[in-house]
Amino acid sequence: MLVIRRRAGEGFLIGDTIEVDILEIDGNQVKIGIRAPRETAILRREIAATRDTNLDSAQTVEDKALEQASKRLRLTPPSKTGLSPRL
Amino acid sequence: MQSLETARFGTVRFEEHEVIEFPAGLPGFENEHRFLLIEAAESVPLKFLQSVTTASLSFVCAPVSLVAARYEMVLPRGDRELLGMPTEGIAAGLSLEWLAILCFARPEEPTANLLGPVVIRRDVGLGVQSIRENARYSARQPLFSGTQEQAICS
Repeated sequence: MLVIRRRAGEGFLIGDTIEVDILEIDGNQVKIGIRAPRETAILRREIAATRDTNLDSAQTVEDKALEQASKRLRLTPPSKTGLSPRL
Repeated sequence: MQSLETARFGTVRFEEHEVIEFPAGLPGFENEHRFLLIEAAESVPLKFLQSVTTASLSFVCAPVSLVAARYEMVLPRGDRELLGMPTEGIAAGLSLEWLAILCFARPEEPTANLLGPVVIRRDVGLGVQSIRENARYSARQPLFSGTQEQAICS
């Protein structure tokens, strides 16, 4: 992964057509401006992850898998936190 | 009374007031705004988010509290607005249903989307897929951990 350090008011280019501006830095939040061709999709990563999962989840589920999952949900206690270290 | 020919449940009859409106759709399904929440006796506690618009589309869901006992059920401001709730403070007497969409891409190891739970307000028939902004929760959290798997198999 390329890592670069930028200050507010600075920016960088990706290829010839995408321009990224660091507009504002406030604590642990960064405000970013992006100039890119209209057809370039820009998605927050968590939304992209949910979209991909939704597309997978919309596939037909076999009755047997459903039966197993419902049975096990009835029998097993939920995980304590549901925390996960990665997406 | 309206009816819908679904793949899983055959003919489903429903009243308009049972339809849950998702003003923003769901990521990947931005044009799907109307769903029914169906429960079937044989698959309790699972619930099915069945599209009214596309009969072949349904999502299998489980109550978030059954997947992760201490899940932080906090709604961002924008999602509260979509659900017609006051943007701040406690909305007394409001009951929200939190569901995780399940994924059976590997049927023997289902996962639950805890990054983007579906939150439904039944009293007004509004819903939203509310996406957490940090990465504490996974979009593909294994529904059953390995140790439980072993405990059941052995």
